[in-house]
Amino acid sequence: MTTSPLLQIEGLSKSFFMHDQQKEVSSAREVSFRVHSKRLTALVGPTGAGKSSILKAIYRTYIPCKGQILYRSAAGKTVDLASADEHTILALRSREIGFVTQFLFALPRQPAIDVVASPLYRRGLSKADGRQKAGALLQRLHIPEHLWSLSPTTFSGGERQRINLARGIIGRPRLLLLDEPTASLDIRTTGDALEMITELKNEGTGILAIFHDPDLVQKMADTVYQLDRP
Amino acid sequence: MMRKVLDVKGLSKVYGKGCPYCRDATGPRFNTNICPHCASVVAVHDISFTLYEGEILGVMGESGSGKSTVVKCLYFDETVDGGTAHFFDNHGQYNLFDLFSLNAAQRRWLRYRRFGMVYQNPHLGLNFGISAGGNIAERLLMNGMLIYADIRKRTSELLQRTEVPENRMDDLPGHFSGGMQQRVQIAKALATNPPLLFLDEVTTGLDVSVQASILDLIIEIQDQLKTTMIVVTHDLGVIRLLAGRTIVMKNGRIIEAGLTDQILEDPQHAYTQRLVASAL
Repeated sequence: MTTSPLLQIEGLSKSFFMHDQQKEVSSAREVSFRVHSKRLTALVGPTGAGKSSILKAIYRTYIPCKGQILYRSAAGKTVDLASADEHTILALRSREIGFVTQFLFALPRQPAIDVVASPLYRRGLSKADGRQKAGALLQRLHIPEHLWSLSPTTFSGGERQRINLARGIIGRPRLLLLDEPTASLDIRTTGDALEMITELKNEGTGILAIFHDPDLVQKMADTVYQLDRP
Repeated sequence: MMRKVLDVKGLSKVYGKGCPYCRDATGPRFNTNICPHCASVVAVHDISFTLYEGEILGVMGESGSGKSTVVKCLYFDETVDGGTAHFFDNHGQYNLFDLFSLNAAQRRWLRYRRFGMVYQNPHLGLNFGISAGGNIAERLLMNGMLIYADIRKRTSELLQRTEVPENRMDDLPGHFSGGMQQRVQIAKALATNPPLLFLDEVTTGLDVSVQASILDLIIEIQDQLKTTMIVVTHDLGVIRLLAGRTIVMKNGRIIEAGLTDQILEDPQHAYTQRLVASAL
């Protein structure tokens, strides 16, 4: 690969110090790899190998203990996500970096369609335009229209996950982090979700993903990195 | 480009006569904010943070940690004993206010036109002797709106936005439920479209469904008006849903500051770890 990577991770380590027990727990040690635009990079490894921790460190939900996370921004600058200030991280999160986890945090009364469109509202899009785009995504993910005005807190696990995925991809991020995005979906909706992920990739997004299913890794990944327990 | 709205440096407030040892003999290290030498209360000490336009900053901590004192000092409800705070008025005629060196008239001008405050206790934010609409009208009058029809129209807009039934406009706040009193307070605080809003434990003591609707309202306001906010709360759920960044206070000091999801999922300080662990 000759193009410069979208994300370059060098010697990333993460451990947690539990003050109450005076104990340090290591979750990733000296991890290095690269993510390119228009490619899907998958992290594989046994439970406890630190796959999710690495995604969270990139998103800065976790503070990395060591190493660099060099991200090439839309403005052409290289930002070290491990040490960038909080406002830079928040700005990147709202415009360039998306994260889809297995869990959905949403306001208790917000309709599903607004939950999905919320990244667009934050960018200043009108409610009507945001809803139109969100509706199109929800339709493709087979969320019945009569549910769109309800809060996703009342939805089933699979429905919530689809809402979460739709919210993660609606803003067309340059870098998308996926933590088991299809874990509780049935075969049909998994197929639709994967199709949307592939479309996003073909449009130029660099994707870093964790899939629990080895078949999905084989089907989706352009590059695979194997992690071992630290 | 992000614009700075507020820059606070070294904010301190001591209740009591104070002594030279107050600041060194209190804080998280001693697990107290009461000076052992003179019994003064060091409510907050050396608080610094910067706020950018449109962001929501959470201030979290247990009762007595000094979190409300921070916003009360910034809203001029309390005088300060040290530190500086600069307010950048990006829309006004003047653009920089050194908050703690203003005279009374300038402070009043900021309070009525540029800042909004919603207290935990509606009695602090509302005049219970006049109607809900009257409370809002009072704020509009002070802001130079003098035509009755205009005031009435704007008041009804504000109440509509905060989902207070319009036909209750002329009722006294004392006849409202707790949640609705908070909504009237929010409507009043928003009357002048202030660029900076302080919310002090606004959902505390309300039942869960009312809490949810108030949180919704706050997010909607932020989405539409891009109001910068400081949200003081001890409720981690509120922090998670509202704030992008959070500071954690204990014994009048900031012990940890960071992105909200980082504070909740990867807390660094022993106290924050205990706080998060006991809440989940």
